[in-house]
Amino acid sequence: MDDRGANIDIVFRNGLKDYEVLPPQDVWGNIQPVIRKKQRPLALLRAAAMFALLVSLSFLAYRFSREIPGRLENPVMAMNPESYAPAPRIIAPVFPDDEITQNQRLYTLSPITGEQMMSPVNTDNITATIQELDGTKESNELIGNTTEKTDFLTLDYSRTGYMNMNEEDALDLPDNTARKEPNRWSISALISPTYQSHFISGENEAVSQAMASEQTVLSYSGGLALSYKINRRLSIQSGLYYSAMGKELTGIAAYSGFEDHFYTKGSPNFTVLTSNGPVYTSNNDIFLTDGLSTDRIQTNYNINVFDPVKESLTYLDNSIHQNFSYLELPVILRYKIVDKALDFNIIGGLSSNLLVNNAVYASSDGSRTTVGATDGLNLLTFSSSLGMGMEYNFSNNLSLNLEPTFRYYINPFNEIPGMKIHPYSFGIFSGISYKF
Amino acid sequence: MSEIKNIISGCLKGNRRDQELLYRRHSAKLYAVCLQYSGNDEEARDILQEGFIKIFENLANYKHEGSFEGWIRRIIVNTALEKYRSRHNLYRVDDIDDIPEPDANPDSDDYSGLEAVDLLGIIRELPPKYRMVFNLFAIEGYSHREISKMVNISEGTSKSNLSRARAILQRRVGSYTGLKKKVLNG
Repeated sequence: MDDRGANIDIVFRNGLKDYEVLPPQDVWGNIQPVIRKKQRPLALLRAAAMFALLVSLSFLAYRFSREIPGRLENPVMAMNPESYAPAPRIIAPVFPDDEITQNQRLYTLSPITGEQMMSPVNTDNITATIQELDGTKESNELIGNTTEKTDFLTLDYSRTGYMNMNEEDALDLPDNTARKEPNRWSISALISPTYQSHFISGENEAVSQAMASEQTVLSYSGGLALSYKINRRLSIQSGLYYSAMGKELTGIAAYSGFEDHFYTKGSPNFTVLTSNGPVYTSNNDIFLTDGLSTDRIQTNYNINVFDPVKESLTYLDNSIHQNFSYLELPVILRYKIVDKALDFNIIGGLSSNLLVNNAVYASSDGSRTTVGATDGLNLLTFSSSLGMGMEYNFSNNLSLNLEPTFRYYINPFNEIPGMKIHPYSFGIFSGISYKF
Repeated sequence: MSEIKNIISGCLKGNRRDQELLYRRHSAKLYAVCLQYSGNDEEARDILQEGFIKIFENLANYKHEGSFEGWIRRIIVNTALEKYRSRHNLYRVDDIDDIPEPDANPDSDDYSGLEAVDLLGIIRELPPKYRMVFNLFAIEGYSHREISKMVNISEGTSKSNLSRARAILQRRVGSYTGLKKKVLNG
């Protein structure tokens, strides 16, 4: 009985070993929503984190901007010498009346007005009070060519607080006492990792399905920028950036060694639908399959007519990579909202982007095998950008920059029938600026 | 990186295509296992569905040690076992006790004419408790001690159930092959 029992065990074990029965079609439809529901909170969390970051930065900038004294917002108040700013004091060495020569003429003048203070460089308009150190003569008022006296006259603004408030706008001093002309030009080297996604309008079922298997690859952007300071708050910037971006097309198994088997001449062996346009294979040695009966890969060599495993093709990877590179020529305006050791700027602009690289490849063990290229990509695209820049000044010439930037592509990379896909990206540019 | 590692990695990242690929590659084989452990298609389908959800939920725990097929099969068998335990009270304990002992000399020990679909049909006709013990012992290779813990029965009951299951299967396989030969010989 035991032998017979063991025998029947073997009959069933061997008989059912490789048996397969296709399950009902709707089972996957019931599984998919359950496993997707568990992943959705992660995506929401990521979006919420990005939103929180932008809100925090905006709030921080707002708080810094509020720290600027309110009086600056009212130039009349700031400039009114009677109500607010006392006249600058000039400390002069003691000298008797008769030592005041013709060149050192004395005049009696009325107090300086706000308009006079706002006027550009004019030494004749400078009004100062001579404080005689021997105390015998007080509050004599002097006007004249101060350049002739500056060898013994010293302007003391330290106690007025006036220079701290609005030193550049309010007053320009004579040559030998004036502040140095601010550096108007700066050159910057910036680089950023960028995360790319897209806004979609319209419907194209095949492309929508393909998009479900596309994963954005963390890309980067960087380059040199030259900016010119129009005034103390506004500057314009341009430069040349190199930007690389891409997607991983997952679920597509790539094999090499197909060259001996293909027979189609003059057309690509495989066409892969993607949200950036169709990928045409140019390497005849590559075999692609997604293992599923979908329209994603269009070919005469589907898995039913050609088995890459039976034909001993070399397996490379289960995904292929779609890469683009652009040379970007931006025109950017930046407005300084906080002018301190740590500056805050609002940045906005437009950029022309020229396609310079378009490649699709499979990677295996660190080496890349070219698959083909994406067809129909626009050679020139335009993007708009909006961001917030933080600039920490090490010295008068050198500063460190950090610029979280959102970029939106005004025209799509490619024309997809029935669908408009506008990519956008988020990056945090960092780099160093040299002012001259 | 092997293909299955790539697919698993994609599934862990939430890639829908890889998830579907994993399902399509293994569902047919696992559904056959589900049918083997269940008396009706509805139950088999439930086991497959719940089992696959567990597979995706626990994919991060797969350490790439040993066969992946073996790992997912164990999850399906455990799901079938849970289903069996939850429904155990619904089955009559003595629902097969009236089955007669097999003939001393069944028609034949030659089972060569049987196909997988025939074997599956026969095994599914077994009463649940015999089917479960036979599957765990003869197909999965568990010992009576392990089965007793898994199904919450004594080792003796496990042995007895196996013996009954074998007897029924031998008798039915014998009848089936005999019948098949008669049909083929006209």
